[in-house]
Amino acid sequence: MPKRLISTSVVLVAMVGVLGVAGCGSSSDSSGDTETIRIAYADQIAGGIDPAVFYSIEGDDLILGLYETLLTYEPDSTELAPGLAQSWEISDDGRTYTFELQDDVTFHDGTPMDSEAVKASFERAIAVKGGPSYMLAQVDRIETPDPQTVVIELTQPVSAFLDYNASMYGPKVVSPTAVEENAEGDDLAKKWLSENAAGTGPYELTSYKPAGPFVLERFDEYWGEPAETETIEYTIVPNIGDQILQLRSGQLDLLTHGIDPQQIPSLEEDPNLQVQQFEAGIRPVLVLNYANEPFGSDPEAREAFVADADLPAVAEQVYGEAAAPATSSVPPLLIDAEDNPLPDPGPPREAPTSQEITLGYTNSETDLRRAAEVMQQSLEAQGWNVRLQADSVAAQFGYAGDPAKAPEAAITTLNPDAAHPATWLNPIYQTGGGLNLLGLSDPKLDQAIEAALATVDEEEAAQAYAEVAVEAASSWYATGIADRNDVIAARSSISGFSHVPVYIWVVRLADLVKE
Amino acid sequence: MAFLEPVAAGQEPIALGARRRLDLSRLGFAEKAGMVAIALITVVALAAPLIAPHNPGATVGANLQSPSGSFLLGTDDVGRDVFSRMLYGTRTSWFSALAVVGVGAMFGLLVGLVAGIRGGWVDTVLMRITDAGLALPGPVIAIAVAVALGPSLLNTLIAVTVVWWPWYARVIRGETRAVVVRPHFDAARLAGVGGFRLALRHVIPGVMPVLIVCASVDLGFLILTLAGLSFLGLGAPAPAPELGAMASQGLEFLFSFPWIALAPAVVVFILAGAANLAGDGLRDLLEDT
Amino acid sequence: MSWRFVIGRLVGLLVVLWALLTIVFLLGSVVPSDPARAYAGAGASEEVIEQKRQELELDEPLLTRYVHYLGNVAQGDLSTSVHSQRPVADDLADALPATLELLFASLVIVAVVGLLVGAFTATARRGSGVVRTTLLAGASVPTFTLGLLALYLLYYKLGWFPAGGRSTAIPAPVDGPTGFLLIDSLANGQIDTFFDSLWHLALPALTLALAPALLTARALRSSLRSSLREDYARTARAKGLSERRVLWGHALRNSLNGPLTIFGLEFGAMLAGIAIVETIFGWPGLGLYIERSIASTDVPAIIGATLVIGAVFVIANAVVDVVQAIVDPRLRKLV
Repeated sequence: MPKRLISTSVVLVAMVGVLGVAGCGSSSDSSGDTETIRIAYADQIAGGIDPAVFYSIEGDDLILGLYETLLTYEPDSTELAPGLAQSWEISDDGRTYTFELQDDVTFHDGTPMDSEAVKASFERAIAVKGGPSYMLAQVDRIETPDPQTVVIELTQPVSAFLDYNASMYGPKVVSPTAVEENAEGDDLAKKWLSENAAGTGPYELTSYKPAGPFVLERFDEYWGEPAETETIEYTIVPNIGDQILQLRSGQLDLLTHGIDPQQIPSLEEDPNLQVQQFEAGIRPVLVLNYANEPFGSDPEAREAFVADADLPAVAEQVYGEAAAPATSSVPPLLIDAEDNPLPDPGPPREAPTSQEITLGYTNSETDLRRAAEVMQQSLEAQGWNVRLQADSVAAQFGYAGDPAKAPEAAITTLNPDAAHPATWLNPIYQTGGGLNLLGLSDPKLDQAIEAALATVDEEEAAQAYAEVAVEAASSWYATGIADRNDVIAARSSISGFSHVPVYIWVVRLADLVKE
Repeated sequence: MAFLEPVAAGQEPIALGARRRLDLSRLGFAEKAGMVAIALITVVALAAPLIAPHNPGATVGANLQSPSGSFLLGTDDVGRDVFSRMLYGTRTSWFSALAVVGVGAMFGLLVGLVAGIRGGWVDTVLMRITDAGLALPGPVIAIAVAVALGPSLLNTLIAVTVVWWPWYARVIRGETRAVVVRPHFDAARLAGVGGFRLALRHVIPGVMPVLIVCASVDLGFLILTLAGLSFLGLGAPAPAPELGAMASQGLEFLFSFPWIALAPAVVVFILAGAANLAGDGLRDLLEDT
Repeated sequence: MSWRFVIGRLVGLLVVLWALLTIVFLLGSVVPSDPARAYAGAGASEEVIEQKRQELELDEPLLTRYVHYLGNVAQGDLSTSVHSQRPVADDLADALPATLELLFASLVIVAVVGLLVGAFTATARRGSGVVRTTLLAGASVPTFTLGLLALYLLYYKLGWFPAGGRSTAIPAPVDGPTGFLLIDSLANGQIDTFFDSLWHLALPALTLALAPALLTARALRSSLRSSLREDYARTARAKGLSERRVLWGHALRNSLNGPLTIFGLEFGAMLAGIAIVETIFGWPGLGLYIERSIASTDVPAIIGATLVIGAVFVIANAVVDVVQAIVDPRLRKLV
């Protein structure tokens, strides 16, 4: 009896051995193929890649490789630059924008781009009512006097309008032929566009499955400089630890986000890898609830809470070298720090209340969990009674539905949609703003914000916004904790990193080179 | 001789006879070791606040330090002492498991007793419900219940208890049926002893040993289930030191700072292993072969 | 085999499935947070949210929603995922093949290892205490402990196995008919894809299978030991049959009942373990889907996945019941 079992076991072990050897033989290393760059995402692209709908962060580099906006930004700056519009003019009253389009632009499906296509794309974005559609809220009508010219008339001046058009969520130009051909009923081709693309960008989409992988290939008829690398492949690798390992082993070439600052030193030690940090508009923020107690009615409690939370220490502990503690009301990319400094909340002091404060944080972001844990310790040292609550992103956006029932305080990560103060102050501080999670409603502030948005003169607008920023900061409603860098890890063979600060988690795909 | 069915997860069929002897020499070395371990674990769990060198929720050092003299298992990503957190985590895991088993067993006892003593349609209805509960995959339903209730330690314990009791109900009902057919029970009932006293004095003493054995062999599996749920994010919220949650948070650093995830993972293994061995031992003690 | 038995089982199955549906529905309607807002997404206007609320029938009475729910499920509509914004049924369809492949591989390991180890150790004369303890200890290893240790030692330190995902090749290695990489790669004649997929499958499957395998081995071992002592075994030996014939010919068939029951119980535990294993190894199946959905409080996704997994479990158990009845005629009377 035992003999038979031993022989069976030997056979089994031998099989495993053979498989192991066979398997070892097929280990894949991307380094040999210089025409393909492999990038990892941690999750599926929620909601798909329809540019009128997409409003998350992961997926933006892919969308920006396929679609373009009228304007864009110069790398490493907040200077507006031509996109699909080669030049533009604003009327004196600030309500009419005339864009002169680039010549000889073709969509991926062969349709030539003209002003009608731009108009159709904008109108579609307005009709779809996706997350980014607020940028076109003041559009009154769009005219196309000739195929190269688009004239947009607004119901009022909007000082941020050009920046909206340069935003990574800005209205993208989509092939109207594709929309028409692939519409199902009256869905405006939303279903088709969530998994397919018809843009003008340097890459076209050759393969897309919701669970990955996504494959982009160089678009040869691109109107501008052709993309450096032939193919970009995205796979979904859920664990960041795993992503890093695959990067080390050469299976992946580039990671654009998710890298914990504490991993950076060991990554930099590896001669095959490089770590690049770029200034970016990413800000974890401490928000206090204005719809319930104690912060709703007691300004001293707010100030005490912020003082006792010791935000600079949190920034240091959690982010180290990968971020600078926040010293301004609004991220410094949008307004110079000296023009809108954060007021000093004063020294730590005894907690004025013993009420239990629930501090919510985004559960999917480990840095926010750490920040909450560190903050809790500082607060409790001063006598605050703090309970942590992990909430999903969806749950945090749900706070706005009934802020009185939401946590008394919350930490979340915010980023401005474009390089204009309006994209930070408006959504966060305006009554009913898209990022106004915990019930701030200050009519005076609302008025000031609206007035600033409608200011025609650029310098006056900047001045107005700086004042709004200072006013907003004194409310202690949303206090920045740190200004984080984009941390990008790549194989040493990759170069050509072109980064725009407000396009977070994005490096321009078309400029990437692999040796 | 009564056979218990269905069989506890992973255990051999339990045979309990009328005669039992607490003969410790029947225990193998491993079972004895298991029982000693359980005793030790209970002591550690109770004394965690006294033994732990640091406050488990406090940043006491630089982040991600390797094990050293002052931090026996190093520090985690917020600079807390992993060893202290582990001690407190053991405490939570152990007492949570005891609580769930206790409540689940009590509820199952109740249902099983009523079904067994009453018989008839009461028995049928209760057993149908119990069977339905047994037919469904408990741990999976527990996940759904815990999510619906919201992630907190209490909700997760409730969720697990809700899917745990059917097994006890079944076992107790079987044992109760075996007891109620015995002459002394009949005699008592004929003499007019009421339902409650009937149960108390004539049935419970008979089924208690079975219940204890079932609970003890079940404990290990329960510890694993609770730790698993905590690993998935259902359990006490941060910064609570829960073994499963610690392992999950350490996953990101597994390849650079492995102890953060491995330490709690190994502790859960030790807890479950000791519980299983001790449970085996207890069953051996009370078993009649 | 009596038809009564089969029909009885079938009816029982349907009742349990109905109970599962009801439980899952109730859980889905309990959730406190406002789902309409979560669906509509960030920055959505009040009218869009209200529209969503209408769509979700949030203000309808519970019974109406229950009836609609049953109708929807019958048509394969499991509502829409909050996180991915796609129908849950589509998400599950994407994830299911990966999980089934993993489950199947694990079950094969459990059966083979359980059988071999159980049979082998049943006949060993000495060291039975050690064997018993080792089996129990091995079976006590929590899935995540084993997974983490395996990942750390076998992947990171020794490099024997890959981590993460089902395969190294990108884009999808094989656009196969079944979604099972092992089958598809063979069907397409891609042998190294086959081995590569197998290599990726090894660690997760072994992690998932170890504890159930050892528990099954334990159950088989004890079952066998009692069978081997029984009269018919002694008779067979007395007749001169070799020990091997006694074991494989007679005792085994009569001992499968206990292990099969264990198997059923273990299957439930394995399903829970799936979520953990897939999370650790980045295996894109139902388990990872559940873990993600827990993190984003995506209630429709979780209850949809629970429904599917629960149904798989219930049906599989019913099948095991029937198999047990075939193997052991004594059970057929128990309807």
